[in-house]
Amino acid sequence: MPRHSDCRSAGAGAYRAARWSLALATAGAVHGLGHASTTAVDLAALPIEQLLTIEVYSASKFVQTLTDAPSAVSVVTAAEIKAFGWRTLADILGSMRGLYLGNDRNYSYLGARGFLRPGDYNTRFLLLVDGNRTNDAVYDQAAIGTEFVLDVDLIERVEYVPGPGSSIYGANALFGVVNVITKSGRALNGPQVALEAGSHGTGRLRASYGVQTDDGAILVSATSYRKRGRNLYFPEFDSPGDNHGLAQRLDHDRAESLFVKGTHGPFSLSLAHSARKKGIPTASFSQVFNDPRSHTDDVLSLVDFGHRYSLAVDRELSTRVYWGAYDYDGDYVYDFPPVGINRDVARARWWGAEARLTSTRLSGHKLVFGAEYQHDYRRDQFNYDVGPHAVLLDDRRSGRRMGVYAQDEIVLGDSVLLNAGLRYDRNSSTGGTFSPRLGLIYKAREASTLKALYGTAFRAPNAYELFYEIPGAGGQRSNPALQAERVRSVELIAEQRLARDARLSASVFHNTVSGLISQTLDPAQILIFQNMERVVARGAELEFEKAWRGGMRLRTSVTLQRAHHAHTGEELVNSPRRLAKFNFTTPLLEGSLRAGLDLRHVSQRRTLAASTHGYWIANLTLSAVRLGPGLEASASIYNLFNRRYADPGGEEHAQDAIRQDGRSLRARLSYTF
Amino acid sequence: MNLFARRFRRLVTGIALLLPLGLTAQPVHEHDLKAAFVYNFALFTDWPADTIYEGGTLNICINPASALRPALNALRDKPIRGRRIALREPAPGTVRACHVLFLEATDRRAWPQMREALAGATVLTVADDQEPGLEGSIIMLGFEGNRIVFSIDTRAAGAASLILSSKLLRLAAEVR
Repeated sequence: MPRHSDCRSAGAGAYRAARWSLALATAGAVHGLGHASTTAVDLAALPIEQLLTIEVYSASKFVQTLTDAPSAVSVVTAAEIKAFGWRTLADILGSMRGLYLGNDRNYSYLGARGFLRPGDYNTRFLLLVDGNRTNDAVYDQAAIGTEFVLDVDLIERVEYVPGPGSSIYGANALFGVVNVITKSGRALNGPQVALEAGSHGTGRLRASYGVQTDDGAILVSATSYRKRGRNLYFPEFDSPGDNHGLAQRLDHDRAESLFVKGTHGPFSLSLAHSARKKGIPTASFSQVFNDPRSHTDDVLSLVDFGHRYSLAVDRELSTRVYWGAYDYDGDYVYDFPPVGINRDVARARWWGAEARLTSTRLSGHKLVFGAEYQHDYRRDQFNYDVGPHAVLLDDRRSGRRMGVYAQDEIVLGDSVLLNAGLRYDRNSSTGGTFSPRLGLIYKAREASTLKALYGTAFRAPNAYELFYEIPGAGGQRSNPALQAERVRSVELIAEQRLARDARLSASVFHNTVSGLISQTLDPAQILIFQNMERVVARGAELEFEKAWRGGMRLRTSVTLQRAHHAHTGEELVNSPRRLAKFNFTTPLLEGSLRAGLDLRHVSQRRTLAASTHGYWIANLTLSAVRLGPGLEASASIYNLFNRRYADPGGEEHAQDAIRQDGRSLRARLSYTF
Repeated sequence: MNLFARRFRRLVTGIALLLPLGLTAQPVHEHDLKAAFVYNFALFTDWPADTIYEGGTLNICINPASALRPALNALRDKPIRGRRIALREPAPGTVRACHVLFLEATDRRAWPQMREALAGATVLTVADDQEPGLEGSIIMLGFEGNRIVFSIDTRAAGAASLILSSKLLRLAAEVR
């Protein structure tokens, strides 16, 4: 039956009007039943139009995280982001099993399976937004802090697929793939504004508009974020000439972002843009300490145009073309003398296309074929002194990467599933690479699943590691002879569903990374990237999730791991042996309030010179999701017990460890018209 | 009373009026709401006149391990067009006797076989949460934020000789 536009708008009108009547109807139903919660019987009595407007707390989301997937996938939903008050993608990822974070007050860093390499801008994680790659073409950076391209309010869910993902995704999917799925315009259904205020002069304003059209949806959203930042004391610089180690008003942070997304029938178009300016309080790269001019600018723009075409009921072809631009400008202050600015610049431009065919035509098989081509037509890096003008680096490059892949999910009998994938990549800097993956999934009983996984992944050195060269102190040497690094991973996973809405999973992994690209100091004490010898990481993870009928939810995990150099046996820097996560959320006052408690533990970590202490931190959020029609409010306390903790510094830092924030607050208000 | 004070009083009154609503709006459980949706789908579907109702019941087939089953079970006493609801376990051999078949992640493995067995049968298939691997279902449930939405595949409905009411088609987030 054809749908008419007048029907649709009438539906939308009813939808909006139903919000009020629904609130009354549900309230009535509840009063009639005393304090019992609304049941299926009450709901079945409501008109279906009203069912569409009711908000639920999702219990089974995690049960549905693809027990058949050849990985132990972690999923965080919009509801959790709200309940735990997470402000950045880094906050979200840090709550997931096996992941840990670093922050040097310039960028945020992500670690997994014992790896968080100094000088690495998350190049070993592939970060996708709605399936579109966000890692740029110069640094391959996955931006996860305030430099992330998207406002976290626009996230529908974040999926983290640990383990090598190169068999489908190609380069960079070394330790895992992060896929951020954005909300649809229909989820907003009208204009929405959100306002935030927090400690250290933090403020954020978002204005969004979402609408359902005849044959799709449109979402437009803009965000402005400011943080004044507090003055920071660094004992390493505690001398009269360096303001006694106090970096004043240098932790400032400012970001603007814009997101536009539209779907129309089988077509989709998205546009993401973000610009961030961050002060550098640490005087990294041997800068002069406490100079207000020291900062970095990161601007990322992404355009993605996609089409899905159903060839038959059992075959689908999806294609997309994309374009991306990344501009980086860093002002670094040096005493030449006189004191002046050195500007570090990168310009990355790329476009690409991908086609993927999914077929379930063959009984017992689910086949995926794909091909991808990307032209990095600018991978340029510059460096110059601003005044007196002197060019230190003018390196212009381009590159191409292409890949073809196939994957098949084969049903072997009633309880065994085989997932086999292979991808071949060709990269203009390092040549060809095969990445195979094999997963055997055995459903021992209805509620128990065992998985054995084997896979390899690779990462080609990026333009920065290959070609960046600046002479002198705080400088770096290029290394065009760098080879791709590879990981080989074996993993065993056991998943057990317990009763209803509870799940226990355990896994052990063994990763071997060969040719790990690492920042080191050459004999002349200049930074250089080199392929290192083999590194081995072993570990075990245990996770428990449960949802209660009353709306309480728990997700908790423990990771034990060790990563060491194969020959020397020496433990890796910034590699905690223990991680623990505890996320609990519960409704309070008959569901009018929700509390979210987020606990994280990271054990002692080796630093370049010594070590950091292990720590536990707690974050607490109280939110009122139904303050009034469309009105939501929340208050969060981060680092509730004001614990002192620090993240290891890199070779570019004078600080062996960089202290992180103490207790801080945030209040948030959002209103949907 | 000056303008500011008047506005302030209006605001306070407004908030006071809103509060009781906010406090009584209980959270609704996903399974309960989904069960209510399944019930409504059955209510707004026309089965062909020659459909067989053994024992006079409308059979909703759902995996015994499904978390949705207790919520659906609670609806047994709410008849659909005069027929009592009976919950049955889906199996390839007997799946054609279902009137509604609810599918979720755990049914993925069995689905291709069941789908073959279902060819041409007048069964309303409802897939949970846009699960990949459950392609070809007539209705797919999905999430949009914290709300539940559904999409309809008219081609699959036609193949099953079922007529879905225009109301369902109008309210669907997507009609293919």
